[in-house]
Amino acid sequence: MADVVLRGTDLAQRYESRGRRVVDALRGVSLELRQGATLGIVGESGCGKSTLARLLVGLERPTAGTAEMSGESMSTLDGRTRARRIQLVFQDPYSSLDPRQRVRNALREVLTFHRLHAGAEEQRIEELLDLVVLGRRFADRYPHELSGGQAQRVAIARALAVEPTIVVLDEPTSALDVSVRAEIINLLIGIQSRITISYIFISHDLSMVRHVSDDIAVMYLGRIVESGSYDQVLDAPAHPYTLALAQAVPVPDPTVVRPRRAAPAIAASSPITRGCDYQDRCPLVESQCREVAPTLDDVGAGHRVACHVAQRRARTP
Amino acid sequence: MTTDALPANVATRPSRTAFLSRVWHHRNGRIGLVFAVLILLGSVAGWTNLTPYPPDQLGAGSILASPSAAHLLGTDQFGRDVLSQVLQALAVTLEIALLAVAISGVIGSIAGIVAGFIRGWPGAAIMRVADILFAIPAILFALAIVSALGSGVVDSAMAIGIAYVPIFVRVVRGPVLSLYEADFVRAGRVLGYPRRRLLFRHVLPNVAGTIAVQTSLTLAWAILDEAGLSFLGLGPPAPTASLGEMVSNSTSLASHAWWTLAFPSLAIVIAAIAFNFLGDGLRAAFDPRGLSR
Repeated sequence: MADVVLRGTDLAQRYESRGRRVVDALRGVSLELRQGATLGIVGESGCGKSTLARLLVGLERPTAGTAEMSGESMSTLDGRTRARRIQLVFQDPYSSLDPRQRVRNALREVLTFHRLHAGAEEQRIEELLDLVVLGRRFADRYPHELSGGQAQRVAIARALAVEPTIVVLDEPTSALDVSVRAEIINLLIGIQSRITISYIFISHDLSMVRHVSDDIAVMYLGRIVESGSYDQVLDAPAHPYTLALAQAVPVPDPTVVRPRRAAPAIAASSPITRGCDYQDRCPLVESQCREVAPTLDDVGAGHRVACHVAQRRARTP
Repeated sequence: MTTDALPANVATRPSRTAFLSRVWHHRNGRIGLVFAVLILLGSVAGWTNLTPYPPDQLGAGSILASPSAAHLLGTDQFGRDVLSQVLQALAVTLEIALLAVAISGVIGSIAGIVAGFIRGWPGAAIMRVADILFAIPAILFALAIVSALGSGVVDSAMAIGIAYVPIFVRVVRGPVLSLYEADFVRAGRVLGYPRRRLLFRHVLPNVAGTIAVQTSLTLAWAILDEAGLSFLGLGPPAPTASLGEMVSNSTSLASHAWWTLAFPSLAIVIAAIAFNFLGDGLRAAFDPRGLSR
């Protein structure tokens, strides 16, 4: 088992607006990221994926819980040190680049600020562009002179410029043309084969996550409802929500006939105060689910699931 | 992988297209630029007394002579050369307007940046003060200040300048607020950049255009306000005549000597239009999409 580079324990984030409205975006999320591996985080919009990303890179402080990188608590790291270890790639590549900064200057700013490759910045900029497979002539372009895919490559290069241990990718393909998504996914995989780097790949799209991830965590309403290795979660989904996500992925084959299922009802607007969060949408709901919230328990070989039904099935083979 | 969607010969080397040429290629910008240069040249002439005649020379020509080769814009009831007077008055008007814009631009921009960048009570306090100032019409506010302070060049400039502070505060605060939430500023935070670097390297360059445009537009308004104040007799006292005062003095003569009214008025209009249009051109030139190509 490879070293764990990031361990989050019981991370919680609560937003309180002035109108006393309390939103619990994250409600006790624990996760582990292994060195050189990719953890995919899937879930529908509003499940807390992006909150998790912002929290991990230090844009926000969690209201509870801890995150450790290689044994050190992240909250004790200063901004500069933290930045050297964990980076973020945003969804919209254009808005994540300063419109008045040429590609070269954006990359050079990172290098000079962190005093990396002093005296050989230009050479390093070219290396970075090579790493993201972007022609060197793009170095003197402004962001608006790049295509979406090219801009996202620049954003990735900028994140890699500090030589981080971890890159959090927050929906890195969602704003791109479908034709470019595969390129970016392949690029990310290619980079991981050349340098030691761990990814947290956040997406609402299971079909994207499945291409890059070693481990997968499925989030629902601020909690992880299922986690495990790629095979465990995708080949044998245990939680009914994971199953619904998996079945929502279109199969690019017109001859495949799949059972039409009624879409699960939208999550109740009033928060569920008792029992399982998923009870109102769950096709397997039982009386126990209305009373007791399931915990995220191991159902075999590190495959963890928060579902009474799935846990019982695992106990009785 | 295909990243070479654009032809290789495009923007392969750094080319900083001259800023002024981008203003020039904008239709209104070009008109504004030409007029603004004319206005500036005119007021420099007025300022340095390089006028055809000394502006205050009585009997430089015959009384109320219509425009001719000797007096291009005619003469007034004391035989003074109207062109020379317009040039000198233009210099006075522009001096007051520039000073006013400098006051409102500096105070307003700094306050706007602070209000946008520092959350909590300092920002809120600045905005409430700006709101209160904003609720009073600029000219009315200027009238009140001039009545209180007096009516010298600096007093007029202060009066007009303070009246336009809240506009700058609002115009600058908005973009600063939204830029601080922009992904590229967030990316800077994730990269460990301190707030000072984010402010000076990433936020300010992106609001510089807004400030420049607002400066040009405010200059146009300040010229009109100055003309208004001095038309009402609240401008700098004689002998420093400004354009508004000239208009005011010549209203009674206009029926038999139209040039005494028309040319000072025209100067006001051209000056106001010049900086209004120039603002338009600046807006286009500061658009980052115009960079490099």
